[in-house]
Amino acid sequence: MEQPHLRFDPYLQQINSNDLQRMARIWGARGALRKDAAMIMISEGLTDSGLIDQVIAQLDPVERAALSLMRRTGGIIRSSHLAIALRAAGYEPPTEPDMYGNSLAPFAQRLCERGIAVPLEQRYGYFSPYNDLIIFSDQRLLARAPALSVTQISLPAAPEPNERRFRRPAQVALDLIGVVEAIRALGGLQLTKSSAVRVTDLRKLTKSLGWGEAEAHFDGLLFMRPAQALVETLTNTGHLVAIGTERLSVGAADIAALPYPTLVAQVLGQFIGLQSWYEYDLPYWSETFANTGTGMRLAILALFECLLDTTSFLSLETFSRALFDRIGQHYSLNGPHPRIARPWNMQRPRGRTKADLKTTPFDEQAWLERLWTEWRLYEERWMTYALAGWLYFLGIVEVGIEDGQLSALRLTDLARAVLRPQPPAEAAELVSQPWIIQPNYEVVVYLEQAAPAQLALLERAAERVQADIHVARYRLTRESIARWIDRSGSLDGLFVALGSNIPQNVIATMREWATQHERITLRRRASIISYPHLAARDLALSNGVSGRPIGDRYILLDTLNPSEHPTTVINYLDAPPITLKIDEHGQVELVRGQPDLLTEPLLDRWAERIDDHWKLTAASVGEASRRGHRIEDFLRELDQRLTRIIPPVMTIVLRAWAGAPAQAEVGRVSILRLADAHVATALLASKRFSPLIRGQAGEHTLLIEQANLGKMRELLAWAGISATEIDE
Amino acid sequence: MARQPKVSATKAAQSNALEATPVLHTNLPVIEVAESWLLDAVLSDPAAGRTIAIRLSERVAVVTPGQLDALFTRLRKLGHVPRMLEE
Repeated sequence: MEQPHLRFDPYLQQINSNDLQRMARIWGARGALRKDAAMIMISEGLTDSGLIDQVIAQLDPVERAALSLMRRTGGIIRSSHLAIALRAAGYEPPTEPDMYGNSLAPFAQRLCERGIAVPLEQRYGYFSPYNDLIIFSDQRLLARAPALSVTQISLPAAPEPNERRFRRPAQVALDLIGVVEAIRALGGLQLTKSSAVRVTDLRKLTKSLGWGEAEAHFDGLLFMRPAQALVETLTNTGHLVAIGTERLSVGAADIAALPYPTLVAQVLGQFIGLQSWYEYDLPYWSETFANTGTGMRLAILALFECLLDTTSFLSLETFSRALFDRIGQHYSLNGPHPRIARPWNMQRPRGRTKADLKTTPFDEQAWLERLWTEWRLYEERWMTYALAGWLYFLGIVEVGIEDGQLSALRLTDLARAVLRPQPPAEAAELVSQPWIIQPNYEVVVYLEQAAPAQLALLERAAERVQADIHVARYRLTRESIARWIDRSGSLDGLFVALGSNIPQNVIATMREWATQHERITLRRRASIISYPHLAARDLALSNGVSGRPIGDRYILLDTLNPSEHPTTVINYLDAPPITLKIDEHGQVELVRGQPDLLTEPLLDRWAERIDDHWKLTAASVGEASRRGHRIEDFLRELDQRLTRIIPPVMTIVLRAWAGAPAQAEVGRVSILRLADAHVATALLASKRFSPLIRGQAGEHTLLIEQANLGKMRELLAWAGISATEIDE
Repeated sequence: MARQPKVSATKAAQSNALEATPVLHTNLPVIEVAESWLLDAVLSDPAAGRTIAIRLSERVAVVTPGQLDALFTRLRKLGHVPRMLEE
């Protein structure tokens, strides 16, 4: 993903002169400097890699480690996350609070004043200008930053669990490549106006991957909403790119070209920063907690680095306690503070005397125990989701299972390669085709021998049936071969890539599938020129219009060349041209302009053609309905083409002819005509009279059914209303 | 009349007397087949046939705008594997 803010230069202008002068010191500035001079000094310093190395050498260990951690998150980080990751790595970031009691502010300020970070937003937080800001470092500094140096930790090993699970690098790559290829097969994912992937498209992706919508299990371990997490991650790694504002598509960078550790390192680096995804379903009121995920993810990875030299299993509790000991007093999922506040008398004794402290002794051990109990309930639960979810999926941890629960963990070789990259060893000799193609179209792949590019080939050309730790099974199908041809153009390249051991019947069938696929072509946006007659069309072809003749009057254009445009253009993404008139007899005429290609077939379908006009009849409309065409579609299509609104009675008539007549009743009723309209209103409102009244025709007239006439006469007599008989 | 056969629709389109000058039709959904019997087969299927607006030739027909995906799905159900070109 493009990171527009990974250079200091455009931001320097926004920084005030004093801060800039402090930043410039590390680049060799001495004494007071004008703002523009300080800016030039910093900008020029950042172009000199030798000078950058000198700057990094001047940093103290905490600052250097901060720079290393920032590189891991792509250069951008919230200062609280940075502080907590430093603690997990064994550093002590400054804890002295500023005058407002904020200990994060001075730390962020120090990194900025040392010239290795800049606030991403010039936001003034609650009192303190550097209050938990998002800061970033320049990409040229990050490129020269050393690997994170950590304080190693020694933890008691757990006994080897009876049940162990882990994923090989090839399995991890297979699933990551699978996500990219599934998105490619779907033609990309549609974006909403807020640039999020549309829920329905995400659902389609999840279904095509064979994962559950809300959760998926990998070797029985739960990973919540993996499709959502991986789409966002792969977008941030650049393997998926937004096309305009509407669609997310597969990027140009080939995910299969990366060695396994590089691929996993890229994904892991972007996983840390996920904001819209969380390890488990958060309750609605804890939306802000999601911010804390990045800090915890960084911390867990930093602690892994402290353990890299061990190959033993650790119990989950031991690992959790180790992380608690490093960060638990300062951090929780609730934010950059412990879950239970440190008792007041353990806090900095501002304004309190030693005598006061002696009289109110505190029990630090009791507080820590309470904190640990809470940690196990909340932070350790989160940790279990992280270990079973993305850390297992990405092949970073091997887990031990006891009674169906994750009970122990240890780092994999892939984790060691990812977290502490070594110079690339001599590449192992690749097996040219690490698979067997069987006569039943199944391809059995030996994952340990397969390179990412080979896995990508099969993901594109076949359908994955099943994958386990050693072997993946694919099936060559008509659809998968069709997809391959759409993308690659021909089958020959696939035959070469699959090798020489393809059974003859498989080759023959694949060729037949390819032929079938090319028999029907659907074009979403074709361009066609229509001519009045054959001679005009042939003349146009001889004049060099580039396209193929279709029927007697049409040319299907190869490309849309503006210089070849006729003056009349009908765009079928727009509303159709207004060309028709209809009267109350159902007669439809072309009265003006050029109709589109759909108008005449539409009318032919629903009406009888009589000379130069059409007549809608009960027979023609009924026949169209019987053939399955919908009257509402016709009314909409017709209405779009009419010069004037369709006569309302015709709408009713057409619906009736199509089988949906308006409801009507004909019957004999008597009328009760009242000289005073108020009397009619009173009778209608009456509980005794109204059940006998069928309806009202004007203010003075009520309708009475024959059956109720006698009862109505009685009630009128009772009410003192004399009714004279009329005979009309 | 009742509904005219599809071939009549083609003739009707071809004999459009109002069309005196060339007209460029853009963004038009179209189906093209390798042999004419394939288009006959598509038109004879009620669900697929309803999505076809007009047959321009033995092998090419215009699909009703908005119906192309429905036609694609229907063809897949009928056992075809059509090629979809987005341009």
